[in-house]
Amino acid sequence: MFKDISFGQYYPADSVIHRLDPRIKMLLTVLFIVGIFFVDSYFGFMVTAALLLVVILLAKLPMMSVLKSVRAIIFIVIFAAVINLFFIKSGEVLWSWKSLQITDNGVHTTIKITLRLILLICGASLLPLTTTPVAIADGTESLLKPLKYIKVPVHDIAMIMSIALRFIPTLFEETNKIIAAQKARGASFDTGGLIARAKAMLPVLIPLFVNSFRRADELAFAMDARCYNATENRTKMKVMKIDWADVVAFFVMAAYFAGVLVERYAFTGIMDGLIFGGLV
Amino acid sequence: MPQIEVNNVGYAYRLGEGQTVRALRGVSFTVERGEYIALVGMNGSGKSTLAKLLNGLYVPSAGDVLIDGVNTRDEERTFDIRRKVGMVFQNPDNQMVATIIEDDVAFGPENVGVPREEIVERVNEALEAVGMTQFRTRSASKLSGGQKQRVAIAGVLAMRPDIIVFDESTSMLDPEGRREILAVARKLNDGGITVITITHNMDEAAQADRIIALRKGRIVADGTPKEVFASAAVAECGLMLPPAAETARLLAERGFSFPDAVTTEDELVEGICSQSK
Ligand SMILES: Nc1ncnc2c1ncn2[C@@H]1O[C@H](COP(=O)(O)OP(=O)(O)O)[C@@H](O)[C@H]1O
Ligand SMILES: [Mg+2]
Repeated sequence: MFKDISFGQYYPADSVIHRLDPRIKMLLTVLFIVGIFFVDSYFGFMVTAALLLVVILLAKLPMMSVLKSVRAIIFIVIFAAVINLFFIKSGEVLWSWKSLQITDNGVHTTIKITLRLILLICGASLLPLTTTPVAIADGTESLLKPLKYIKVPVHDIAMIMSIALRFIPTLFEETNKIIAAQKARGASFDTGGLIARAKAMLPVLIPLFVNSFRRADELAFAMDARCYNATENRTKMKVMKIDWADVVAFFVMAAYFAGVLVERYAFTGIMDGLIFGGLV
Repeated sequence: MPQIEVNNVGYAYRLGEGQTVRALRGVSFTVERGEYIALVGMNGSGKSTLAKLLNGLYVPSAGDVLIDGVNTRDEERTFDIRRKVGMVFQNPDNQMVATIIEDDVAFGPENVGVPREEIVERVNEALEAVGMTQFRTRSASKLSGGQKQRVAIAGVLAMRPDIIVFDESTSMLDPEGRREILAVARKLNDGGITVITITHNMDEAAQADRIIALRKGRIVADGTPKEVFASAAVAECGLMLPPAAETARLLAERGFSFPDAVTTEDELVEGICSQSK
């Protein structure tokens, strides 16, 4: 059922992208996510895709590892596409049947929404794919540091995040085991309506929950045994440092972001007109 | 001064509403530096409770536990004691804090504020000692059970402990993983670290220098494997003798006589051969 949850899983490799400062990577990811909502031309999507491709190649990631995260949201993508395709009424009608109709605006919006969602998830997945959970937690802790002054337990939040990321694969593995065990006893997860299926999940969720509490208990002992909270002056094996590569990455992303805004508001539709002529 | 001193220790779990479960009563023993001890007993006999008393995860309800003369009740020294007494638990998945192996091994030293360069040094050393150096930047979720447990041991070693307690650390592993962990434990013990291993596997216990057997929270036997296997304690605890010792016992019931207590296959063979003479 949950065959491959690769989203959120680190892919170890030795690359410039892996070595970027986690804080920069998080910042750039946010910038990218905001940026892609301003992209509204086919030209813009092509540039975005090219940028992602370069990053993926630099990071030495296999294409599949990135595309797998798309599979995780494929239903959302299809849902959004169908809604847009049939419910946008403006523009020239291309096809109609009873009350359903598809317009040229609808087709364009659908393609753009699909591209946007796919590129969004691909881009966002690059952060967990190239950054270890500990680095993400350290980066978060460092970015949230100002909140320490108003007594926000920043370190604990970072620790919680890092442990959550650490246990995602473990819990999915366990879910699959429980599902297999319940199937062996004759349970069925793929038949019946929505409610029947939800009900069938109950015997999976309950042991998963109970086990999680036991895990949490054991983990707490293991952490205490290794002197967690021994001192306020915790040290770090890996120190974060802004490098020239981080600066370059930042400027590339800033240029992309600025380019997106300029193309959208100053040259609306011009690039697409130049490239695709009368097609769009 | 013994390295570990357990004096008349009792421990009761509080269940609320005044109800308690007495998990240990009147437990006393001492351990010298460098010993290799197996702690045996049925489920619920109090082994894990005793283990957690040794590094101050629990504080005794009665009596005292002293590590190098320091009482585990002394809150100011709690972390000194935990640094000295490392623990490896049963489930490898539930004691790993970080996804990446080297990050996990670094967790302990980071907690006690070891300077950065020294952490790196300790992590290298610890991974080397358990033979996991080539995996250091990998994710732990892809390892075998035995490898995960070796990482857990490395995490403890990075604290440079004097004592390591293994709480059924081999019970979830396949025979191969079990052998790996036993070999590491043996090597660490040869290097001077005191090892206390909790186990149901009597073959494993037979390899220890000394066996302590618990039953319903009390010590019922404490001695060398030969002494303990020769006494009624093992049966009393509801445990099985190692196959060689069990065979010898059955043969003895049928009139064989063994000059020495038997714990290993070789001794069994020797004993049987000496009968025919
Ligand atoms: N957290 C707990 N709360 C209440 N009772 C407990 C708890 N942990 C263990 N016990 C009880 O204490 C006794 C000893 O348990 P334990 O030390 O885990 O034994 P062992 O490790 O030998 O199986 C058992 O009777 C068990 O039910
Ligand atoms: Mg136990």
